[in-house]
Amino acid sequence: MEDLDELVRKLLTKVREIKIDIITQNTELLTTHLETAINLTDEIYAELYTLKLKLEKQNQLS
Amino acid sequence: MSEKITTELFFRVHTFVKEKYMGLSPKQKKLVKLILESTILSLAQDKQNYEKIAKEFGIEIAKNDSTVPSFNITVNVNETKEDEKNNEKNINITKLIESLNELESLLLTIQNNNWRKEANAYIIPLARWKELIEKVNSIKKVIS
Repeated sequence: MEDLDELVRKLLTKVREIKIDIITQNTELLTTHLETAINLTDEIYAELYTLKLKLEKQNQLS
Repeated sequence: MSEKITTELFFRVHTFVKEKYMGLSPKQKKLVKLILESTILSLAQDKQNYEKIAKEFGIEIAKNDSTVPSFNITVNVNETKEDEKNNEKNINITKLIESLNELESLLLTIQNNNWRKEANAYIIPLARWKELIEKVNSIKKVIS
C-alpha cells in the first residue's frame, strides 16, 4: 500500500506542476509533465485493480 | 490435523498426466500426494498443518534424492490477519478518496486555463487531455 500512496503523491505533485505550467503558460515542460502524469495514472490504475481483485478473492474465500 | 485419518479425493486430470503418474514409483507417487496436500493447505492458509506436511515432504525429498530430479517449490503462507488487512485498506482508501478529490479540483483549474486566447488554441492538446481524464475516471471507477 505504500507504493500506492507514493504513486498518488507523485501524481498530485505532477498535476500541480501542470497547473503552474498552464497558468504561467510554460509550454516547454508541460508535455513532459503531462506524459509523466498519464504514466502515473496507469500505474495507480494497475495497483488499484490488483487490490480490487485481491479484495474480491478475500470476500469469496471468507 | 488428524494425522491418522485419511480420505479419498477425486478429480480429473489430463490422460497423459495420469499415464505419467501411473509410471511413477510408489515413492514418487507419495511425493505427488505431499505436493498436492501442501498446495491445498497453502491456498487455505493453514500454516500449522502446512508446516507439518512440508516437513514430511522435505524428508521424502531427502530420502529420494537419487531418483527425483531437482526442483524448487515456493509456497507463500500469508500470516496477516484478515481484520488487520481490512483496516489497513479502509484507511488507505479514505486517503485515496481525499487525494482524488484534490486531483479533480486541480484538473478543473487546468481545464479552465487550457485555452490560449492569443493563439486561439488549447495549450494541452484535447486528445492528450481526454486521455488523462479518462484514466483518472478509470481510477475513480475502480475505487467505487
